[in-house]
Amino acid sequence: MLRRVSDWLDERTAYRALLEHALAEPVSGGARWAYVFGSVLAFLLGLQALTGILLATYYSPSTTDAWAAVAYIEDQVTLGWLIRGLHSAGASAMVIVLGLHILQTAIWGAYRRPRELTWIVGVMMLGLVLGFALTGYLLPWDQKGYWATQVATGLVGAMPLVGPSLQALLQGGSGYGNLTLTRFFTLHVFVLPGSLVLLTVIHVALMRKNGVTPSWRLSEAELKRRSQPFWPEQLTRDLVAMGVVLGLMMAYVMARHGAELEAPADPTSAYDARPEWYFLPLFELLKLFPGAAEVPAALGAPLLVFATLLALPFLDKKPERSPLKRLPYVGAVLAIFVGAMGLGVRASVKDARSESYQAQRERSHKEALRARELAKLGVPPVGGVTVFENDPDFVARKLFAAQCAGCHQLGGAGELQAPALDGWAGREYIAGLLRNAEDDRFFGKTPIRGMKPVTGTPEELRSLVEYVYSLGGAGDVDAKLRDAGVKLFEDRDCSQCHEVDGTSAWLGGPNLGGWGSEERLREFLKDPGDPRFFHKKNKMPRFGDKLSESEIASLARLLRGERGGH
Amino acid sequence: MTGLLGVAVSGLLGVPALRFFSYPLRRETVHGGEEPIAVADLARLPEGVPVRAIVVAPARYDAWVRIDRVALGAVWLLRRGSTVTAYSSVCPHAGCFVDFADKKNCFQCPCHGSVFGLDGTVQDGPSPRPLDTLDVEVKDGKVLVRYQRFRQATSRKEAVG
Repeated sequence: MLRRVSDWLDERTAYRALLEHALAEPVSGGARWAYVFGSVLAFLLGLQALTGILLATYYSPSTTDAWAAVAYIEDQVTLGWLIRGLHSAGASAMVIVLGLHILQTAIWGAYRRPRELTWIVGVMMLGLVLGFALTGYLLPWDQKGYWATQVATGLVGAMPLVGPSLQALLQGGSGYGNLTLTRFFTLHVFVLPGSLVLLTVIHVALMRKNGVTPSWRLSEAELKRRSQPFWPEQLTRDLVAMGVVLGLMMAYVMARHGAELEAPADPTSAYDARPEWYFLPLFELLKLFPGAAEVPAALGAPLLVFATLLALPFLDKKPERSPLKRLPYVGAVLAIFVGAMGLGVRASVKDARSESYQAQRERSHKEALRARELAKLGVPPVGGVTVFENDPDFVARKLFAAQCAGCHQLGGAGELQAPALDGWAGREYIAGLLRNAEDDRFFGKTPIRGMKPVTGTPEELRSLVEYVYSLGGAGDVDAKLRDAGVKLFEDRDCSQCHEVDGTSAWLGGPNLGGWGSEERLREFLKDPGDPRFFHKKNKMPRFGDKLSESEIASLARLLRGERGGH
Repeated sequence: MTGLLGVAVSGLLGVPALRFFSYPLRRETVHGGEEPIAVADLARLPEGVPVRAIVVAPARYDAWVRIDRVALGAVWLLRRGSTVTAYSSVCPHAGCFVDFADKKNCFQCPCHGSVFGLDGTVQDGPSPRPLDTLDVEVKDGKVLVRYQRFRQATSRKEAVG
């Protein structure tokens, strides 16, 4: 059956002859591990296409959706972290293998007659691969991509004459927005892949026409004698190399559980951005040329590198194949590599040693984790940083600003018409209250009067504080101090005005049972004028009528957080 | 050896790729509002006269987005004594909005002229089945409706989504 189908196909396409031709292609001088890089690059290109297409089935290039979609891929879609991780690691792997491929072919002298065009097309492909990296970095619309790409588009804008127009064309306007994403997306998934595939076809066709560049150590006769067909020796080496690269990538991605995703892009934040590692050399170079020299250096250095690579076939025309006889040219290529690596290492070491940079990394990492956790609750339609509105604390602070800040201070905002609530129900706070409850920080501006300042030794004061602190069910209570406080509470006549059972009514002061706990605070917020609380002296609105149960709960949680402890 | 390597590499990539792509088969990607939702106060519903109410989901999830307070659709509420019937306003024939014609005291679909009685039965027109009823419950004086959509143009009432 299979035979009949393949016969049918062969009769119409002659695919067997084609396959035969491809597999039988002679490898001059025999199969070598040095020749695997090109095949591995083709494999990586396929891998990027596969993972890229998969990612596109969940991605949406808009400023409101991009970050949320990527967070969804990373944290919710089955194995999304693996697919995105492979796509990201694949980009790095491509740059590394491309570097090795260029080194190998340069040392072998593969750019020389008759393979000049293969080399030139290859150098153009290098440019495209870097273009992929640059455009792909922005697509998650996270802090890192947003700020790092600003540097790149800013440099484009600084080009003489055409710069500003080119920048506006690239980002779809004078600043970043939806059109920046749609354009970068278009470049990344249509323009660049189309161009790269076209160049790959040309590159491979030219390679097939002229064959591999054989080792300089063997004579022409020896090369011919040792020649092997592509299959099975070379193909097996190629496949092993692909397997090793894929295995390494898998291990790397699994160890890091996917690719990094920072918090959503926030144009208002201060963020010290770094580009992807393979652009670090350029980043470091910019720092070496400050001021007016920066832009020429930033544009000139890559231009110089590409010009050198493109000129190589036309400068090195000697017939000798040994790299030792072509030292200036091989040296130039090596110098580019060593220079780039040196700059890259210098940048990394500086960052590793910079405490402020490491602190920022730590902060942004935490923020990223929080944003991703909140994104699991669904991102609001406005997208991006509004994901933080899912944070109950955020909701509570907004409520506080709207409902409470007219009379109460918290976190540096609000009026002082009623007790300031920073550190509410903590030991400091209670101590202040006991010393002078009629201070403006406490009840000074309210009609609530009559509590005598508590005097005594510091030890006594501490005991009383500990007792009051314990009433809210705190877990970190010093039992000895508290017990002393219980006695003092009686001796100093506190109990004359304050009940502590949580149910009895006002005796000239509020019932302190459960004071400081979330539960009692919820009761209080619902009806501060309850006989247990401020009774007839109350001026605070009844929030039970104004806010929902969950809103009151979130406010209580926020204020309870002021106390600290357990 | 060569073939084995090929199989290993494709398996290593193919299985995760399929799992990733088929995630929507295992998980509801658009959801929210399937629970009974309060649409009206029982005390405000007149006896025997249909009243239109909008079913608003507190939150609707569409892949990564959460949209709060989304209108899912409209229902006709008909109170008789303390029991309430809820008809979906989506015509079972072709999905147009079924209106209440108060002069004729019946439901009418403007698109293809189906006419339904207050009990939901087809009185005229092409509709293959009566108006679709939705699950209703009354709790603390509120009327709660569990909103659903049904397959159109079939004689059997079958929920979709």
